[in-house]
Amino acid sequence: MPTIVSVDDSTVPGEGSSRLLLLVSSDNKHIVVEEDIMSRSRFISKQVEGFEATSQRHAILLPFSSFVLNKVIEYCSHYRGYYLLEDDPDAAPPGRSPVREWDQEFLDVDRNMLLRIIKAAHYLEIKSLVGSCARAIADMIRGKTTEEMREILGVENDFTPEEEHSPSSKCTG
Amino acid sequence: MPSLPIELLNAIVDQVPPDELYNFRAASKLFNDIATPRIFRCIGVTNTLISAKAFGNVVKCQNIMEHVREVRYVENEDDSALVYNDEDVLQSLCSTFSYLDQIPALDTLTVVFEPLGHFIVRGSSETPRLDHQTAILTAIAGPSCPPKKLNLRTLTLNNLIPVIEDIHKSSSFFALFQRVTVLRLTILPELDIEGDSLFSSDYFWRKTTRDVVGLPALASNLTSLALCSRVDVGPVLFFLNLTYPCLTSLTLQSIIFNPVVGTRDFIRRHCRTLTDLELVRCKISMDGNTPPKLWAEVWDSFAEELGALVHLRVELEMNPAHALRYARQVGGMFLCYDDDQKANAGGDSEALERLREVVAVRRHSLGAV
Repeated sequence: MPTIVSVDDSTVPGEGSSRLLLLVSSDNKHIVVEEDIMSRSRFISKQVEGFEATSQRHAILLPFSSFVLNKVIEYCSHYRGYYLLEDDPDAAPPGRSPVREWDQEFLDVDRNMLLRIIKAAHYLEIKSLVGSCARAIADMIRGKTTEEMREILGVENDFTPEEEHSPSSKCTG
Repeated sequence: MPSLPIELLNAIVDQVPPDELYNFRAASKLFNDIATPRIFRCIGVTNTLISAKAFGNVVKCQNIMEHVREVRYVENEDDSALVYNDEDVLQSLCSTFSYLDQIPALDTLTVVFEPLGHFIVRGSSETPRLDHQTAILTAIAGPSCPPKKLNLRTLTLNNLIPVIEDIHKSSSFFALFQRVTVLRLTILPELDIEGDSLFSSDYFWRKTTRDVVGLPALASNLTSLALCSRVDVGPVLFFLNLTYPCLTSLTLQSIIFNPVVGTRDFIRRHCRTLTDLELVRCKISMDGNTPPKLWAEVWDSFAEELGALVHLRVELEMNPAHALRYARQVGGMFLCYDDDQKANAGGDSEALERLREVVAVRRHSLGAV
């Protein structure tokens, strides 16, 4: 569960069609954003439902930096009002994520940033963004050696020498 | 460097084709756990020694075998003469196929034999191909007693040579179809051998194919059926008593429409369930005492009655002048005559377009892809 703090109505005004939310990043930056923009996030939607149940408004504290948060907001702003199949909870998930030209340019960032965005999208439950990031990372690792993959994805080789040379590791189907 | 939770690693791996995951699998134990089920979900095998031996290695690895859901055996058409005479390849393949029932989650088996020429005669130079196919089918089906416990839901047997061998009469062969819900059979053209009906494709369709599609277990389970031939199949296959209550998808290739075969009524009997219909190079037989239904009547009746149909594909055999839609049986073969094709050419095409429009409107209204 996220940490939430109470805020007064002057910080988060509005009962109109597009209310404002206060998002607080891990580097303590306060970002005000329209609720409609963030409705693509299942996590935010659930938080807002919780606010309505208690008739209190809160700031939502998020465990990632303002730099990453602003990238996610940029994504959500771009697709504001758009229907994306991956974000439809009632639709069957697509096998491979669709290629969207705008997403490819948007995710043309360094490896660390890409990993941070996918983690943020996962936390915020924005499936379309998770899918686009996953596809971008997959494209990054395709054709790479095992050692290069370890470096890209930040993993250590934890096989024992015996396991590395076991018959099952040689099975290629 | 941020480490990723397992859900995200799964999401990334889902974007990579399974055959590109070997290096990923070798990166760490966690990555091995994530990639292994995907890499080995479907095992592709061909008739080369390297592939046959690799297939054998997989079947020996218990921790890999548990992930296998599908085996696809597709024969390589290159250098087939060499391959078919290679006993090592055949032995290796048969040995591994005989262990299929040891793969606990196997539910899909695809076997695509090499498509052959028209004439295969026992004792001729083509015999090794027949022996090869028979040996593989026998290894897959296994002995009749005790029977194998295969639990196949999807079974594809392509390019079956229409020669009835012992395997086609065995209970183990028919046991392969017991739980099948998706069945695709493609049978090669007829064999020409002097007067011996055992070696004609007619007899294969009349006996083996009819026995398979008429299995009571199949009738209750089948949701998708494809019966395909490269030459016209006439009154050697009878649909008259066949009904599959759950059938949603039907493909017929080169199956003749006429009242004796009962093709049109067979399709109409599934009007409430059939959503996908594919007819490839099917013709109406002009033989018989009563005037045959024209395609226009068939298409109009389908438009009126097939109320669940959302996907339709009709492929007509063409010659430079026109589509070949009608045939007459002459000496066991179906021949097309110009006069028959011209009889109702405009009416048939218009009726087919009407049917296509009805199906397209229904598809769009249901939001089907």
